[in-house]
Amino acid sequence: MKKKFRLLTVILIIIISIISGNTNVNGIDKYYFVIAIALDKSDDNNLLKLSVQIPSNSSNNSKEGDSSQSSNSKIYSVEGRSINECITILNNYLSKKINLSHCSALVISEELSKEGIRSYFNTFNNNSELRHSCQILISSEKALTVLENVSTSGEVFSSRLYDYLTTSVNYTAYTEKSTFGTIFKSLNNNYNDLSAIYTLVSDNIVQTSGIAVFKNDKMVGVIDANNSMSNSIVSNTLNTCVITINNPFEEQSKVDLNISLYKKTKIDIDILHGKPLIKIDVFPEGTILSSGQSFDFTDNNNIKKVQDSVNLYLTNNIKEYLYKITKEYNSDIVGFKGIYKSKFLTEKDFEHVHWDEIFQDSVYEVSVNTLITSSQLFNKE
Amino acid sequence: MENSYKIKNGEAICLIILLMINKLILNVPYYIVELVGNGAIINILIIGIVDFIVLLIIVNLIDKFESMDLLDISGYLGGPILKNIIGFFNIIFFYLVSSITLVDFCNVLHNIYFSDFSIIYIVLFFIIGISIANFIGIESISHHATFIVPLIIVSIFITFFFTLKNLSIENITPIFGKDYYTTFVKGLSNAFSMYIIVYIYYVKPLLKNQEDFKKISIISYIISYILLASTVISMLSLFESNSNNIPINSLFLLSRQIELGDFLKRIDSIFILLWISASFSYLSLIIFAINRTIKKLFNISNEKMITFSSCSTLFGLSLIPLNVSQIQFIENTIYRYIVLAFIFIIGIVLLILANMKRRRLLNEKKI
Repeated sequence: MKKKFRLLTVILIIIISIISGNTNVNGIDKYYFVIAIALDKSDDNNLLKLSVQIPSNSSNNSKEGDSSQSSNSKIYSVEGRSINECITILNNYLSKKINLSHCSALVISEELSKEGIRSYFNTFNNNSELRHSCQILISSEKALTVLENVSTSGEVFSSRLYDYLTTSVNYTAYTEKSTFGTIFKSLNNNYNDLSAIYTLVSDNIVQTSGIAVFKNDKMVGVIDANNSMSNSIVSNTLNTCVITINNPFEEQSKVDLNISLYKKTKIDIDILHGKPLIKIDVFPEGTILSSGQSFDFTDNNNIKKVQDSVNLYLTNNIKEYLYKITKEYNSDIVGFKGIYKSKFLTEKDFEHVHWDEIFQDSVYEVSVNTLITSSQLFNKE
Repeated sequence: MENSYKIKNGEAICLIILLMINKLILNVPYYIVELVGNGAIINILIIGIVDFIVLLIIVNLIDKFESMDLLDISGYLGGPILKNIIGFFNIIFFYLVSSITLVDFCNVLHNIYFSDFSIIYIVLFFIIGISIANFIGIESISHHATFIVPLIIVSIFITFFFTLKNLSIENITPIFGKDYYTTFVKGLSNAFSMYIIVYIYYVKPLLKNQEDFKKISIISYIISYILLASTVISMLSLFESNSNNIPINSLFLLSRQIELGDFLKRIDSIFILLWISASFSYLSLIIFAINRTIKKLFNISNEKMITFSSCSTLFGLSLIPLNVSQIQFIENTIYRYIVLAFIFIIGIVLLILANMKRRRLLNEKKI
């Protein structure tokens, strides 16, 4: 036993002496931790422009009472033929290694997205540092301008602003949630096309507004903020949102309602005369937020009138959204293909349908069954 | 110095599950999904039943032989010649398995965390650990396995439950996959995934309570099968068979999807730590099996004395330069058919013949 112990001690001493005091050890002081990455096409040639936002030391201008997380940030841009080449140039320029493990957003310009994003995602996916929760934003202008505007937004910790940009979807439904993980999943299956958060940049303001729609890995169009709500309803991701409809009791006046789903949206697909007939049953639950100068919701007929108005409004909105993605973009971001495929026993049987060829001819039947449950604090004026 | 330690029931179950875990960490669940697509659920049900029937047959056939493994049984059946043939086959098989596992796992570690280090240092780290573990003996390996296996089972279940939210009806349909032939006929070759049966042939003489051999085999099979099924189902939530992306380590990609609220992210780094431990334990066990086989073939009194030479051989084999496609070919094709041949043909045929011989000798004695 003593002999074993001695042998083990000797081996341990050798290992420890090899490992400890190694000058090659990489501490955090040798890294630059990136908050966000922007991908653009360079202005004058076909190179890729990669910009990174890196927190800088705020000790010079920090105020008393600042959060311990508060920081300013700097943006560095380089041009190269590929992402890895750009990162290598940055590593050389900054004399520290770029680390993506705290990257909270990846912004890609619309211009670049239209040329296809698969290769960029495959590159980033090969990097184990990038988290799957990293937000993916498609920018209407140069992606670099999103980083610049976020830097000057006044938010003490820039990476939080990327979170704020996207968490608003929970109560506005003006866009959708798209992270590196969800995009990776969409790129790796063939039953739905991918979609991502679309950001509008105007007057030094960045705001999420709608959804960027892709066919395969190429961006083909944008769903506006109003139709994004329909996307959330059809794909069962709606948390809550506010809609404004015409007041059924007073002309020229509006009714505001808070909408959520009380039951999951039902989708049924059949092939009729060689075209997909897609039946969608929606079950929204509404709360009246404001309803003009005179109202009386103690009367059930009045509630019914509001329900009918909401039904009409949502039916039109959902149909407008569905025909836009189908006829205009030919993009199946809802995943109707997967839903229909589940009716078949084998993929070979499904291949006979030639879904990709007939999808653009789809016909929709939308049925909305709204339930008005509350008028908030007052039932009658 | 003679190693007479006998492993207890719990340790034996953990050691067998450890063997399974290592194949889950490397890409076996993805190979199943790759072959049969969305039909993987039906396919693993079928191979689960087929393998279980085979396991029961093997266990019942071995049970007749007191304190003997397949090597001893082949010696009983065909004398030293057959014993040597099976023994050499075992050694080649174990070295193939261990060197490929070591290279593959070190590559994964190198790519994920230690890209600045030469892969040879990562391999050496394992080799030193394996040498020490084998020098101490099977008790250190089994104790370590007993400690680490429950933690890894928890990690696999966490991965399963947190990726379950991504699983939708579209991921698992069409339920019969690409076509019936692929799912029911071609897919039968996925039976290799329950390769722990190979080791059932050798576990009996190591047991403290040999009368519990059947119970141990069945329990460890069921747990291993549940782990395999949950990993395959998780895999379906992320990958589709038609996808062109073939991951090097699919379980790692799955674990990267896990987020426990806003605070606990990157839980995969904890899992990697557990997997390193599991691989270390697994390789130690394989080297122990190699040592035990050599001991039986050459009548060596103390198997520990050959630990350093067997570890050096493993180190040498793992230095053979293999690229990703060669490793994948060995794991997915060569390994698949060797395991199938060993479980379904060589092992069972030897056991049936040995049982026939035993019965004949018993009858002769009675006469």
